[in-house]
Amino acid sequence: MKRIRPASTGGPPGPGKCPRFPFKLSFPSRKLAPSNPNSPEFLSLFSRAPLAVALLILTLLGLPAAAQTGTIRGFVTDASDGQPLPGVNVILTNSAGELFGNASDTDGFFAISRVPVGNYALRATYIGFQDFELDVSVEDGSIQTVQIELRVEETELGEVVVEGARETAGAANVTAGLQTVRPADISLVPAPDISADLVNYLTALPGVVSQGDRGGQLFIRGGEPTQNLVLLDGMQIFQPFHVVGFFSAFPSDIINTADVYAGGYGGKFGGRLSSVIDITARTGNKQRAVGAVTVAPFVSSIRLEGPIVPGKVSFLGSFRKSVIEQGAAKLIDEPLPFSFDDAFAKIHANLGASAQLSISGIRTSDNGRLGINPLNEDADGVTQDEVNWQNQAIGTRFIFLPATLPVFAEIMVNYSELINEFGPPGAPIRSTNASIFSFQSNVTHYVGNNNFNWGIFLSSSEMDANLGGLFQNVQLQREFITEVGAYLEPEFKPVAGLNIQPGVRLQSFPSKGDSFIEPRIRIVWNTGIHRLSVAGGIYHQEITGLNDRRDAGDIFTAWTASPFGTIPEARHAIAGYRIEPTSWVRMSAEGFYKDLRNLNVPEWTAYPRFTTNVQIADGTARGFDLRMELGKTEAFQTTISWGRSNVEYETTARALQLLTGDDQVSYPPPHDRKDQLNVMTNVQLAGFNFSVRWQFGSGLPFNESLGFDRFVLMDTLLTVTEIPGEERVLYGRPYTGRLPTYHRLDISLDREFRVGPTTFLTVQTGLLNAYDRRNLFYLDLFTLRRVDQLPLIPTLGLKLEYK
Amino acid sequence: MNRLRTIAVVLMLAALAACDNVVEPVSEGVQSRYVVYGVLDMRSDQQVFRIEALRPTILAEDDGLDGVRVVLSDTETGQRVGFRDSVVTRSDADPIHLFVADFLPESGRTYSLDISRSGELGTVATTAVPETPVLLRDEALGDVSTLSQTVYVVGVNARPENVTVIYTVALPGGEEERKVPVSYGRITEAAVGDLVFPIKYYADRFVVMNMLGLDVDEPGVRLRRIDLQVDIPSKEWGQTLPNNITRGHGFFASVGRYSFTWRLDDASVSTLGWIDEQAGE
Repeated sequence: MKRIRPASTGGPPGPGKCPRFPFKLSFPSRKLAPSNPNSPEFLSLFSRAPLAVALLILTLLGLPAAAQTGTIRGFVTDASDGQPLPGVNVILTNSAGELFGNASDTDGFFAISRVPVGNYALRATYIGFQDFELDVSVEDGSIQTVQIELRVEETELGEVVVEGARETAGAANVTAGLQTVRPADISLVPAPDISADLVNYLTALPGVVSQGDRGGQLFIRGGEPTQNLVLLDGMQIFQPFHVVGFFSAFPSDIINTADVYAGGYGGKFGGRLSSVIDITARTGNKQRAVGAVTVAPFVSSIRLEGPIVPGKVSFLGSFRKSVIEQGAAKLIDEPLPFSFDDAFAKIHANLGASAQLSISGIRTSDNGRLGINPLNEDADGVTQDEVNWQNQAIGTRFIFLPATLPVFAEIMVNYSELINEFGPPGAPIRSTNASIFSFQSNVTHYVGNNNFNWGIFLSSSEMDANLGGLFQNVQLQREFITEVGAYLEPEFKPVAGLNIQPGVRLQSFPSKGDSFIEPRIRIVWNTGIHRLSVAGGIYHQEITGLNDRRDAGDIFTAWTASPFGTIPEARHAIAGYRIEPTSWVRMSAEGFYKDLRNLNVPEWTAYPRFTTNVQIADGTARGFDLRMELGKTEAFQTTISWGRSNVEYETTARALQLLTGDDQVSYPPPHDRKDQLNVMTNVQLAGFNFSVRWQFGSGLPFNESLGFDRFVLMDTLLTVTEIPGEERVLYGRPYTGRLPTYHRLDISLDREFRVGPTTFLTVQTGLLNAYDRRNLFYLDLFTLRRVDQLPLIPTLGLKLEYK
Repeated sequence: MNRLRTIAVVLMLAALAACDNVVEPVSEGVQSRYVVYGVLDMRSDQQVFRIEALRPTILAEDDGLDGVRVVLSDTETGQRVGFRDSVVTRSDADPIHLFVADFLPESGRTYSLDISRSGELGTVATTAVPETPVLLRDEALGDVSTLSQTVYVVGVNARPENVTVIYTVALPGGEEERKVPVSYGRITEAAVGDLVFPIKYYADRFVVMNMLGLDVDEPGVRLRRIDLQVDIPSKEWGQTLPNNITRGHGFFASVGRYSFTWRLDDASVSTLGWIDEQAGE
């Protein structure tokens, strides 16, 4: 058996999470290309007439293969629970030593098409699992569907059965903005709780700026939170991150994989300017009922899963509820006015070998008081504004493999809703209600080494908001927005290791009269230990979020169709390089540039807390990331990442005429964190799992104050002696100040004990903010009162798991 | 061992960095900014400005005005007037610093108000008192129910305020003289540059007689003088964002008061039922 080393499992999945060709090998027979994709005629045709390309592709798909070939396809699952296994290498080898292969996608699906007729040894390998081997015979024109069930590699140590290592995707395994995250990656990050969470890992990535412990807002490579598209099993989640920054709607227990596109995403995704976080949930255990209960200072949770029809239909349910006020707040004797919960459920059914159906639903609820509003006082003292929001979503996904075509198809129907309110408790002054019903169908045709991905989509959104006078020039009202569109994204592999994925997305909003054609491109070249990648595209965001970034304590976001008829637009360019000189060292470098146009930003005023206008801004976000991973085994892994970025907006601020005589201004928006450094280490020793993470972020911009006066409105010839004046703070220029640097050390130590044949108790202890850094969250300029991030908090968590 | 060293270094750096935790919310170099609210007023021979220093927080107790001098200068003649500080305490607000001086500004002059401590570059606010306009008029026309006269106030660069016609009359059978102002308010239709409006004698007659407590047809009222008084604000009033304050904030402007007198012809005075005792022809 030849030893074949996967070139990558982190390459760009196309629509339908189509697999990448992961092998560094040459193909002896290359008769599969539909035409020469590098020919000028082909490129010209493609660039000028996507429709013609579509017709050409469909024509080609109807043609019989030039040689006698067949297709091997199927799903790879974990035999112990029926979970799909992504990234599994599936290889066909014949007696002549020819190799054909592919890797499974997030559904565990793989397809190897246009395989010459003959006998092959099929082999599937994946870290932590025993190799799977099967002899298959490929007949002309045949399409064989193979179910591969991989068994966990177990080591007998006395009575204790030790599970094999599960593969991480790797923090340095970034490809043109795409970072794939698996639960094993998330588990490397020290968490304030025993149940790990996706957001805790995301905030460890360079280029991802968070508000810290409070607020639940992520800024990805210069983009604002409302410019991130977050999908869970295809369902759009408007505001997925909890009010406490360590938690999101996505505990790692429910995650199969998460693809995080920090930019340059393909034609399958659209409607957002900055990034895509595409999460696929686990399907639930199809073999036996299992579950877990956790108790910890921040969150307590319960997870249940098991078969409804053994081997075929499963369910997964998860519920978490914050216990901060009963737990962490008492530990530090400090009020932490935050509460949240989330519930997720999924039913998954294998409808035979070639079809699967899943129904997912999620609900989240958040409530918190983030800042101080000194102008909103009552007799008892300061009254803080409160923010609360609820997400609800339900969706269904049907995937099927036509019996006579080498095709993977999926149909998704989803409904999502967000309610967000802000203001004094019980009397919100601002509210928004957004909902979207969507239909999307994604199809992948496998033609030899090349894949042809296309899809159609349709959505209807309802947006309603009450801004409470926040913006003087925007009067929002209930409106309905319809979107229809399609995308086409072929994936060419002209030579081994090279993957070229041009694409185009067409989207139209009939109710608004807007249509867009968005070209996309993604190229990945794996050669030896090197990987080069570039990606880019044009993106529009018809449905946008309006918020007042002037106030860090106000995370209220009003969702609406873009006001003024100017649609925000972004152009992305990403170039990356990754090298893996040895099996225990991986390094990557990636540069990015985002050209942002027609953004909706609050107009800077010389006086805060007054209402303002929405202004149109242009901007740029540019920067680079450097990442290094050391170690591969669970015994020791270290990740060091550094991100440097520069974000700048340019807009109009009439108040600046006072200072400069010019109302045009360029400024760094309040999320412009110049430098970020993350160091994470995970060590396993004597059954203990020790994790440590140190985060550093340079200071965020803020409006420096000139001082306070008592303002007198003099619009008539009044006598100044008779007017008491109104307290007012005066700003200098926009965002010229920088808050102190942010840094924190988190430590956790845990160990799993077997307390029954299949019952395990995990005890976790840790220190959050281990050296008690006073990281600033919010500074009230009126009083100079500061709201800090969480102080040093010792944690102790218990997890009882029935596996 | 190396690993331990690395961890120790990282922790040490972290501890050092932990010291950098001070927020300086106030822009550097703005310590000497002052806020002034006031109007240089030709209507009064005493000028009052409300002045405060910008405070670093809303809770700051120090008013920041110790040693501050406030001086008004005529930019042409160099004439300087010093202002004295006084504090007014209101029950519903913090004390207010009012700077007061006896001074009557003149039309057409530009004045500069300096607020500073010795040796510091303080706040400077300037304003130009509007130039005295020129009055032109048409002949008075009409009978007792329509008599009016169009007047032209030429050279007005802002919308006039408090347009008032003042009738000086002597009551019947005596020498008691009364001044009766009839307000025309703000002439909203006035164009910048010229103020043109009709003086409606026929209507004013009712007001005057009413104010005197006389019947409108009461004989023996003697007209001795007619004045037109106009307040004209400086240009800062008409600007959304005036930029006449350097290194400071607030509002600083001026207002000119201008009076014009003329003689109403004999026939028109008779038409009103009054006796003409105006000076001159």
